[in-house]
Amino acid sequence: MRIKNPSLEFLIKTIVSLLAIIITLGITSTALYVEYKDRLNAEMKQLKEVSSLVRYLSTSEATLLVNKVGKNWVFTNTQNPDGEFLTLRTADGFQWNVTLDRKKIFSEMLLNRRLVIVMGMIGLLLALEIAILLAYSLTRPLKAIAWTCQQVSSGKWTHIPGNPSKFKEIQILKETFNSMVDQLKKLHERERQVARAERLAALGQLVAGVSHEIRNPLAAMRVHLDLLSETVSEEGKPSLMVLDQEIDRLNSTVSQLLNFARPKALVKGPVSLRELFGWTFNMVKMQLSKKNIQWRHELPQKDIYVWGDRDKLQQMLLNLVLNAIKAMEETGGTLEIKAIEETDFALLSIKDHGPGIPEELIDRIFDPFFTTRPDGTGLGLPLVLQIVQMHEGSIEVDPGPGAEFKIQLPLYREGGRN
Amino acid sequence: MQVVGFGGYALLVILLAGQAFYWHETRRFFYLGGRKLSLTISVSTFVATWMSAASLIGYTAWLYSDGYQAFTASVNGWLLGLVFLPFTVSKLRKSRALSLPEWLEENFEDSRLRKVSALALLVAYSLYIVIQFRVFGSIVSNMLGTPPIISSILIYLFVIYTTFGGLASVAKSDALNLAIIVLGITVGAIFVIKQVGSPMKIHGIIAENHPHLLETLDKRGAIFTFSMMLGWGFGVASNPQYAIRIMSAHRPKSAFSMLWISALIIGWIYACTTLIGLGGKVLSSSAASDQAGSLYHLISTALPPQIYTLLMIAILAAAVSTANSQLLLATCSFCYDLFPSWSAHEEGDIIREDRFLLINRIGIGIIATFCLILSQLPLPGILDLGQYSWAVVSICFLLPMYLPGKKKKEGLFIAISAALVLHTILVYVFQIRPEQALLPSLLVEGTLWSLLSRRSRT
Repeated sequence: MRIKNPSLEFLIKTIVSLLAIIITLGITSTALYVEYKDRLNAEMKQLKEVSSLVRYLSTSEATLLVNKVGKNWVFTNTQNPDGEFLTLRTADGFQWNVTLDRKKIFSEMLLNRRLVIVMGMIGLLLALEIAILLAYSLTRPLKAIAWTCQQVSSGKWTHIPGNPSKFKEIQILKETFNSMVDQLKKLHERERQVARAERLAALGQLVAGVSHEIRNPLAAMRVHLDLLSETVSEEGKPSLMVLDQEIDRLNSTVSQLLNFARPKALVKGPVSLRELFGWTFNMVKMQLSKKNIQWRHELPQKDIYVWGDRDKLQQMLLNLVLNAIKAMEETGGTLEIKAIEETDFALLSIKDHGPGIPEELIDRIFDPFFTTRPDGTGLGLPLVLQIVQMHEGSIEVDPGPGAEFKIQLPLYREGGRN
Repeated sequence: MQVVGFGGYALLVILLAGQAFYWHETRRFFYLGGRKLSLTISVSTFVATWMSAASLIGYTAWLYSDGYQAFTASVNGWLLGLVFLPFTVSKLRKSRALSLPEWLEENFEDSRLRKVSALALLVAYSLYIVIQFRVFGSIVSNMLGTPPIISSILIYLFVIYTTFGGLASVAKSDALNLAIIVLGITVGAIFVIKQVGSPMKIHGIIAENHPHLLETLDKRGAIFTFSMMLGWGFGVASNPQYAIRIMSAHRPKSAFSMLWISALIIGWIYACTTLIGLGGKVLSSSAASDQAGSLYHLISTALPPQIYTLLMIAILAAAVSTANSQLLLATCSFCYDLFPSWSAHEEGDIIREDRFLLINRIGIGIIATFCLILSQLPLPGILDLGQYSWAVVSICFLLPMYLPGKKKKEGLFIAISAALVLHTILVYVFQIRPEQALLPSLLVEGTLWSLLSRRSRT
């Protein structure tokens, strides 16, 4: 939507500028007018004094006097001239009609007061510069606030950037807005957690009901498949192999569902990250070479031990690595996996060089059954989140390009857990 | 009359040409008007920037004292430079650079080029702004009888007022200034012609009373005059003020149109100033010793108060329009080219971009204040300062902008640095005039560049 209203900055600037112009012009012209009036009065007083004096003087003496003091007077010999004329009559009967040369008096006054006028202009320009800076400093924080509102409305929980404002009102607005964003973010997260919990509860019930019904037939199918494999001809064996693989896949999906819906209690102990990385590499090395992906892992010389369930952690890391491989299967590249030791936690990072996660999907990737792949179950990342949470760790995602998952897990210390 | 005229001009600038801080401003908008300047605005800002107080006062006063040789050495050179400019349009328009130093860096892949040329620009333009402040101070003092420092503070405020909003506001004020320049100069010329009779009659009287003014060459010889002309011409051809206006035009076609329409208006203004200078000699032949004083004397004795005031205001408009453009470029060189880390963020990062533009505005204030202080110190005459700054600009940009053939990246930085050092030595140690020292400096620059680039290839 295009807003055609005048900007606040324009209004402040215009109003202050107009005020400055009016005040400057008002003060300067009043001062000049007062001085002009004073000069007129002084000249008129002098004219009257001369008028009363010349009646005792001869024409030649009066002419000398008038020429000397009457530089700003206009003379005429007309009998009844228009306007305010004063008649000067000499002792020998000569007379002039005299009035003041107002234009000349005004010009002289302007010339004498030119410095005042120039200083008025300087004052006016300074006032305008101040008006501009005032409008600028008042409206720029609004620009930052407007920008942040746009960010929040597009789903990014951003604070208003910049240093604390010098203006109390703006600072209050900034703090309140930032606090509102934090609250909204928490609320949003809580809503998501509730939605996830509801889905999990529903999933638990569903899985409880269905898994038994699926697992038993699957077990029977596996037994009969084994029996068949001994009797079937060589031509039929490829078909049996396909059946075997598909049963495995079904079993795996059902296991994942069960694991996710009803996770087993953790069996915690010290887990070596070097071993964890080695195990994961062995699991995926065939896929890596097939998809032309290089594996690079970094660990400090001294191994890091975390306190957790080895099986669960293997599952967590494998899921993340498989995700990364999927992200790079078209482009190839390097899969970087590293771990560093921090004060209380081990920080694991798994980074691919794929196209990254679209920003609009970033909030949904941990939702159960949410997937963008036609062959995906949508359970891989939710399972990762669940395992991390069960270990009292945390997970962060940098959407990339080149997505990076950063996981904090509690460290194992000699003599027990951290 | 002068007080009223000057006050009227001040109010016009305040009301019509006030700058604005745009809500969606970026550095592209601030430095190049978003590359969206219309043809009319482009022409206005090009011509108004071209017509500096130095070119109006210096040229008219020179013409008044030395006759046609002023035309041969200066206007010829300036117009020669204008002929070069269309050849840069496609080169400059292809680039996404926001300044000429950045264009150098982009084209020759050497960040040192950007730094050295930005530093040269900062020095050259600061000197040129000093000229505008001095001229303005001198004229207003003559007009109003105020102390020169007060008059210089006035232009300082005018220039800051019209530069704070970036190129868009500079261009807006230039439209008003150009109208005043054209009006003032035209009315002045018409009056002079009316007084004397006709341009041919001016020529005839000068031939009769001041035959030495008909000499087209300087008494120091043709080479002297020719080298001076080339110095001015090269200065114009490589002047970033014009390059920026070519870059900021809406389309390449409007950049070409801007150049030829501007050439017509500039030609008209020079024709009028020539008539005023020579006609003034016919009407009043005694002159003051300095350049600004000489022009002031010429027009105050030869012209009636109304036309004299109009002409003075035209010169003020020329000073303001050139100073604000140069102040913007000097600021760009300082904030954008000398310290590129200040603008290392994305243009779309509006918060940091806003802070960067605020730094630019502070830079405008600092450079203008520095120039105001310099303008109150005893410095060489107007033309000398102008020639030095134009020569420095030519050394940095002329060869990279115009040398045909394949781009040679190697050796350019050393060549430019050596030429700048050589030029400074020739001017300050050997006391050679800046525009004459320019030619050997350019020769050394070209030779060094060619040799170093060949050596690096072998």
